[in-house]
Amino acid sequence: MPRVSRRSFLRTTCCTAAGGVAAASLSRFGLMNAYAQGTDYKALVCVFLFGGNDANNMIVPYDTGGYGNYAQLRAGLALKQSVLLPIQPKSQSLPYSFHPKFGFMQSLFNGGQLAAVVNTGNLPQPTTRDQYLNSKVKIPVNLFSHLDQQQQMQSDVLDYTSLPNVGWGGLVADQIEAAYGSGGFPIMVSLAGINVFAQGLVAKPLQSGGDPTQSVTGFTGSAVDQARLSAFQSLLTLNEGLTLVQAASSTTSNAYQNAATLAAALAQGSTLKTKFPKSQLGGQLQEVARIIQVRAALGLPRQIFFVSSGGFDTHSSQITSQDRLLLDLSQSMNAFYAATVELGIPQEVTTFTLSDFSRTMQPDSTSGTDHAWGSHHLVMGGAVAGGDFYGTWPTLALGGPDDATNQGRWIPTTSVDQYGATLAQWFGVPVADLPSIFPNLTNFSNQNLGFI
Amino acid sequence: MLGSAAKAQGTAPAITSGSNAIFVVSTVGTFTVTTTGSPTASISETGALPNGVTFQDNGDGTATLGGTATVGGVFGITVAASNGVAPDASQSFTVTVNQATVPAAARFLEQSSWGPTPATIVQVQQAGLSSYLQQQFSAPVSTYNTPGPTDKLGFVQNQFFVNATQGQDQLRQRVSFALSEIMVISGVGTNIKGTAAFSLYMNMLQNDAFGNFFKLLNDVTLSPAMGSYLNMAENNGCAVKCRPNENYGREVLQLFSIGLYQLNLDGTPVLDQSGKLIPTYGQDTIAGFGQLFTGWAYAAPVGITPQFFTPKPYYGGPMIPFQKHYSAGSKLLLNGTTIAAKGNIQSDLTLGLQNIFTHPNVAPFISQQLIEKLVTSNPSPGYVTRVAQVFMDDGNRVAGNMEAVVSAILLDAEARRGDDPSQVLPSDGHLREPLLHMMAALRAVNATTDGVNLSSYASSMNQAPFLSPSVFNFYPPNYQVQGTALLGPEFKILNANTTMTRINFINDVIYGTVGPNTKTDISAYVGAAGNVTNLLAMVNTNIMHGEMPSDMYNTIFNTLSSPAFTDPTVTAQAALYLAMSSSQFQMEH
Repeated sequence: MPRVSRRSFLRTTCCTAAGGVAAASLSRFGLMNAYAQGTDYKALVCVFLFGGNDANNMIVPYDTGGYGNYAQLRAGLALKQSVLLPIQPKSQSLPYSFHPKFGFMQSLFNGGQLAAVVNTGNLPQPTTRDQYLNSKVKIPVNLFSHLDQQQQMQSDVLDYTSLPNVGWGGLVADQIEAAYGSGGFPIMVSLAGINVFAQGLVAKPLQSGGDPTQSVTGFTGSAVDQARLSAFQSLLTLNEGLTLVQAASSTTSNAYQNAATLAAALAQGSTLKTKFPKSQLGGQLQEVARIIQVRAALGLPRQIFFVSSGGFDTHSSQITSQDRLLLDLSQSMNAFYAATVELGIPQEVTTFTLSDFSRTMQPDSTSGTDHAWGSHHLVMGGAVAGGDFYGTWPTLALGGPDDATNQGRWIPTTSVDQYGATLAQWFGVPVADLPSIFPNLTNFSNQNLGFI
Repeated sequence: MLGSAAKAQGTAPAITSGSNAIFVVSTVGTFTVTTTGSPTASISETGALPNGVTFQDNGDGTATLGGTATVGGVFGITVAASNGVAPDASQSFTVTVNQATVPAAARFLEQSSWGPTPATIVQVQQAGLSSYLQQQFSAPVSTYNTPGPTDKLGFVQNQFFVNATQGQDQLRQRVSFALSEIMVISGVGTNIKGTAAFSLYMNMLQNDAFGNFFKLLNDVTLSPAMGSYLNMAENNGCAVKCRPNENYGREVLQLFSIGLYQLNLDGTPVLDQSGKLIPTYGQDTIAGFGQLFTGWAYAAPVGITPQFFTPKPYYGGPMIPFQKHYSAGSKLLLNGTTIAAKGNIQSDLTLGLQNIFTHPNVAPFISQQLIEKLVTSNPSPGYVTRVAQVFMDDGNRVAGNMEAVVSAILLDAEARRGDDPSQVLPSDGHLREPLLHMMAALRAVNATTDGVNLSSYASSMNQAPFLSPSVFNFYPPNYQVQGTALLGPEFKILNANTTMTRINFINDVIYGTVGPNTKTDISAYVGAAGNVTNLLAMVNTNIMHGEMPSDMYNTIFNTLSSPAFTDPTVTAQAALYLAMSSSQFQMEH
């Protein structure tokens, strides 16, 4: 039972972790003092692309040979070279390019605020095609299944008999709460509803599928309304011995409290000048920026956010769908970066993408692609060592050394554990505590990819 | 003489007790007739009593109607009292013998309809659970009207709300919607290009809801709506530089029939020697089904020749085969079965669907999900086993008899144990999904609706009908509630925002309006509100299936008994708001 053993491991190490934090570089008093002076703040923002983003058309080889190979493999889904947006990663000798709708991402990449972590995915240990095909190593359970691969991306638990219920964002929040104490408002905020990424063992997240300041309506100051409100609140404390009644009441009570705290804090903020796209993702990132703006009122030196965009499961008519999705992603992320500049904290906020998986290099017969594995991800922020690729670019060949099948399902060359651990280290999680959050990390020699 | 003088000056008898008594079949019941008058009256009864019930004059001015009724029905009798002082008293009296108690009837309706109404509770009490079920299986179908060419999805969504609120075929409405959450199509995204696709898909699910699962699987597979949504339509089996779309092949296995890993009959996973899940298929099988599901495309209206590739999908009938677009290669299916190359597209499809239907996972996989949707998030292995056995054999050696499966789910002892509140376990019940929460609230206050605005409320609770974010439904069947060891699929969409919008919907139902043509009627509650005990008895029956916990009852009772509550409308509204906004109501158990 890997899930259980992981949890019990964490339980036994949680207090040591807290002590370790206090004794090590993150001296609690030092941090708190720095925070009081307004100098210590960091936020991580996860942008999850639900459905499995086709990274093969997000970053495309631009040299003549590389592009030619790409165009042949992608056939009807190949983007014309003339519309691709060239980039030159610092560490690469060959040129690459972004999707044509990625104009803002190209600018941020060129400006050094955006990096790509290539061919990254759920991976228990370094794996070759031979090892995969001949079952010589562990592979993620239920590979190619949306739900499972989403959960694994968010938890780094790749082997289980029931879905993981603790995620790496939540476990990082646990560490932060142990180091800084728990305030009146959650460190972890999801504006994309309930997701395992946000769930820790200790720290309670705020998870909202809409306006997080929404509270109960219809109560005036009249005597009957006040009596009714009081009774409503009393009923939330009764559970009748039914576990699920208790769970529902707990959700309502926490939401009630958090909505009031957040509304009061947001009232102290001012309107952001930065304009956001009127999309789901744009709206969520705008809300994140508003919450970051009032971080002092909320009393939070560290915050983690989870937002999402959906519709990336492009089995058919991919070109038009992905044009729309990547344009929104580029515009929304760019607006969010601009907002962090407006707030004067571009160095303190790091945004990164996750997605179920990438998609087959070889198109299907309905002008789309099917579920694959390793994907490219984006990291954005003033602290990012941008303008470069991290990880190992896969060999784009059907049945080639990086293909798990014969349709171009790239076996990841970098694990999500490495990706997440790099971000967590920047955020302040001590190296010794990383394996309790990223259970496969010790199977990889490089535990900091250096992109931040 | 003193005695005769007293007799001469006596008082004529009067019957002071009520004129009806309610018994439940096979349950001990008693009713006391009381009289006044002097001297003490003797009491008698004329007319046929229910078998098992007797009438006994107690000789003290009271009589007892009591016993264990063996048959249901309504019995009219006459009760008479006489003491020698004219006139004698006489009362027409009704003995009702119900087939079910209030908790049994109301709980059964919570599980088998879009929520009990005062009228349906009485109906089920009188008919009994099994008979009501039989009536529901044959109730006329509330079909979805076909939208016009300019109607948008709201037309179909409104029809959902009308059917769920007012349809007489409540069980079919409930089960077919549950099926639509297993075999999901959605208007999110651009795959489905016509509103009619949704109404016709729902009509198909309604027609198949109590039929055979194999027909359901076949009809879903060939549904043009599903063909659009998961790309089986126009999936070309061409040979050169072309690979079949795997979307339908993958999801029909993962979500509609067998799931990802081998299951025991009781729904638990089969584990290998090292404690790991055993996959039901690999990528090569997905590729095989991808090939199997090639060559099908939209039919066409009368007078138009269907084309494999068409700019305008036709949703008026099932997809049709185009042999020349069917993949010619051999196809690897489940359990190592292979379909030979160059087969006939139609007969190969039947073979392929039989390959799925005969997989041992289907019975527990579908049974468990239907139990979750109708009764409880955490059925015991025994409960799943009993239903899965019926799925595999309805008693007549027929597998996939959905009517038998639905009956087995609703009549199982584990579904029924909560009829006696002392038998409820801490893990019982399930959170009402938003649509069920909305419908149960509306039906408890006798609502009628045209559906307008309700989708907007449902959307704010993350469950706008036919707008699931993906084929994975609004919530997954295996979601574990945070902070517990229990499954609670519906909790996936109970977040900080939706928990408030669910409560605020109740506010709007009780204090405002939820739509221009949604009418509620709380007059019966208002009529009872002069007496808080009577009001809460009515609320308890209609909203808490007669089992409102005592601490909840006391909290509401004490609140409404305060001097601030003088207006019966205000009192009734507060009682309804507090009951329906509570977690105890939202969690069906």
